[in-house]
Amino acid sequence: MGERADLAGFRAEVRAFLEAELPDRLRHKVIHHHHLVPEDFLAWQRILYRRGWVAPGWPDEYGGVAWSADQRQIFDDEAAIAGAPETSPFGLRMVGPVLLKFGTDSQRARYLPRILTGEDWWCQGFSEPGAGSDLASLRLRADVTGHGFVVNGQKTWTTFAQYADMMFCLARTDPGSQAHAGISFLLVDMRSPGITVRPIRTLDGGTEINDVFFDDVVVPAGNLVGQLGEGWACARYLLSRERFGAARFGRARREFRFLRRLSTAEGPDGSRPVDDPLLAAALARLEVDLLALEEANVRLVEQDLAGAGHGAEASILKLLGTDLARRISEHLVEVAGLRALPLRPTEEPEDPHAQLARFELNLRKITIYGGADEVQRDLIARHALGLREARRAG
Amino acid sequence: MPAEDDARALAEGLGDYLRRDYPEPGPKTAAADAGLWEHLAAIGALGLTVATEYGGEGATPVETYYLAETLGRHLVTAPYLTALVCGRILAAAGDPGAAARAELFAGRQLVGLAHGEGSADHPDAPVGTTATRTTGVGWRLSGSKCVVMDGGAADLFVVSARPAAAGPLLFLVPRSAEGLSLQPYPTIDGRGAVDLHLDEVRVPEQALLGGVPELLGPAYDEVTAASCAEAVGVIGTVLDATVEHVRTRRQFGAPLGSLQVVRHRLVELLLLQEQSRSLALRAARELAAGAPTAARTVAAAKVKCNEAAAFAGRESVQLHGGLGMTDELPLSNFVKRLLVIQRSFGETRHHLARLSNSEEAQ
Repeated sequence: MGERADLAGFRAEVRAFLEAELPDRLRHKVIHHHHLVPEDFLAWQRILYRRGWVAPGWPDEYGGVAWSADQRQIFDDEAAIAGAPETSPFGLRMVGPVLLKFGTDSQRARYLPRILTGEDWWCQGFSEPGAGSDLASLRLRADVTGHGFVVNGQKTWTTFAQYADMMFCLARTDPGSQAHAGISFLLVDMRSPGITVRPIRTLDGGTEINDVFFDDVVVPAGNLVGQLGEGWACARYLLSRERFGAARFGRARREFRFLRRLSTAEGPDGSRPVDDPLLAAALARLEVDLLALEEANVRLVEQDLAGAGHGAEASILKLLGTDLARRISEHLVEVAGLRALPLRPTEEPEDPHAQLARFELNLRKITIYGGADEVQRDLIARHALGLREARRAG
Repeated sequence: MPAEDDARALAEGLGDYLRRDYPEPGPKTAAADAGLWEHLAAIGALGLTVATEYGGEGATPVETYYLAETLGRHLVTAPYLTALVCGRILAAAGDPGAAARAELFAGRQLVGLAHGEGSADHPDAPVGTTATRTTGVGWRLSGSKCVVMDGGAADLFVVSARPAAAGPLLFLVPRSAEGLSLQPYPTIDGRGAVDLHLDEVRVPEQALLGGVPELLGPAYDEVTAASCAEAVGVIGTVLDATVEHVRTRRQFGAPLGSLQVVRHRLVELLLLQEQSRSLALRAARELAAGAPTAARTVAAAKVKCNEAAAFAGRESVQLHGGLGMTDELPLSNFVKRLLVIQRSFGETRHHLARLSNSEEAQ
């Protein structure tokens, strides 16, 4: 089935852009599974900004680009396949849309331009030590004062907090409240006195995530987004917008290509891993699921946008996408075998196996964050199947 | 059911030592590892299954099973499996291996296995390193070896190399040999390995230990079985830690362990662990008895242990959630060890192929 002519033209335009503008250094880092640092994301963001492509889905007057769902999909897929980093989601796809929907004019004027350019690096203050999957049990406390708020408590697993200029966070502004009530959505300057950031070493040896401690941190009243105590509405809106790209089809395609490359590389004795029929069958199976993901992605996003679905489309796509990504990454390590085990310096060139174990360990986060697999499955059972739990727990 | 009381007692003694004198998982002090190594030598663990006439203890792979499971439970990072496989090779080689194995069993020297040149190091793995007979004085070895586990601490290496138009042979090469260069690095589980480069390394005739299939074949089955036992121990600790976590971690107003999906997943892991333990023990017993089915059972055990290792590594992180992604719990060390175990001593596909290419015993 051929692509519609206008979309084929757009795809060609995107490819030409990537060919011309994506720096080799970045492409190399992404394809070879190197750790990326904020400067890598920002370098790419600035290139997209210059082209006017940095904020799909934002209104024109705020510097967005009015792509159709198909166009967004094409861009995301082509960029990922080419080895472009994803732009950091925290500003462009999280707090940005929340400010567009719930923010004041002055908040929009102040923050949105700096999100587009990457001048402000944002981090997301949602999870807490006692509130992971069960986000509504969060306890970060924001006491209301005459001038705003005084915040005390802790956030954790906060990605790139050590580089962040700003945090958007959920805090309890009504100390007696339970669950979703009494939570407010606040913007916090990360340079405020009383904030301490402690990097957390992760399984793969990286320090992407952090503890963030708040000790009498003063937040001005103007940094409240939406209504006092109505922060949960902002959070729900933010999470619901993650449906685009939930499948990460482009990433899966890129990693599958890398896996094929490793599997078809000839060893010193001329044999190739894929000569093993067991591996050949495993690769074929992955390819089946890759095709299924590609088509499900198109179909379910369309269904969702047409309002014809059950509301669990994004969860289905996330599960299909993360499961496939996980299996591909496990096969990458398997094909590399012993060669996946050395821990080499990050920048060491050109052993394609060198970063695979770290990559596989790092990728384990995708079935945990943004709603763990188990939570997504509950959500699908409820919305797509109409099944309710007999009891919450216990 | 064979009486295995002695084997269990030996392992329990080691367990007592580890609880008392060996630190929690994580980076170890040199002193802790040295102390443990001395202890292992003292209880005869380093030449455990080697016949007494070759300087060993004359015990069986069943003893090894219980010891290795205990080492796995405590995540001991000492090069036990390396010593095992090289000890067996040196014993099978007879006289040429005598001096090196005496030092190895006494814990004074370590010998590393330098066989793999790519993704695998099983006996059938291709060997590109060449051995050329030199007139009168011995052999000249040239080539490269990669991911020689524990090689950073090795005093000697058992190196495979292929003479023209013949099967690969094993040679004993001192670390200090001229033309031998080492590139050491840490591995993902916090241990160490080296890549070796041999540039016209000259060794005397006595350095020739024998053929790869004859020497490495049996030793590899034995070390693979021991690796399975280690996996069972590692998985046991991972299961315990995860059960403890879901018992105490509360989300949605109740312990995670009250959720059916969580309980069932841990039961799944328990089932895999029972299968793994059963096959690993059976492999050890068949090796001990010299059963003709032993090699097949070792392959079966490795396949199942790899499956259980993958499941345990994946699901323990998943059920620990964000905490599981950190390197701040002992769990992370065990998870990374499981990743290494799956790559060591033959991937699953290698052992599946061994099973499908050999006859089932009637």
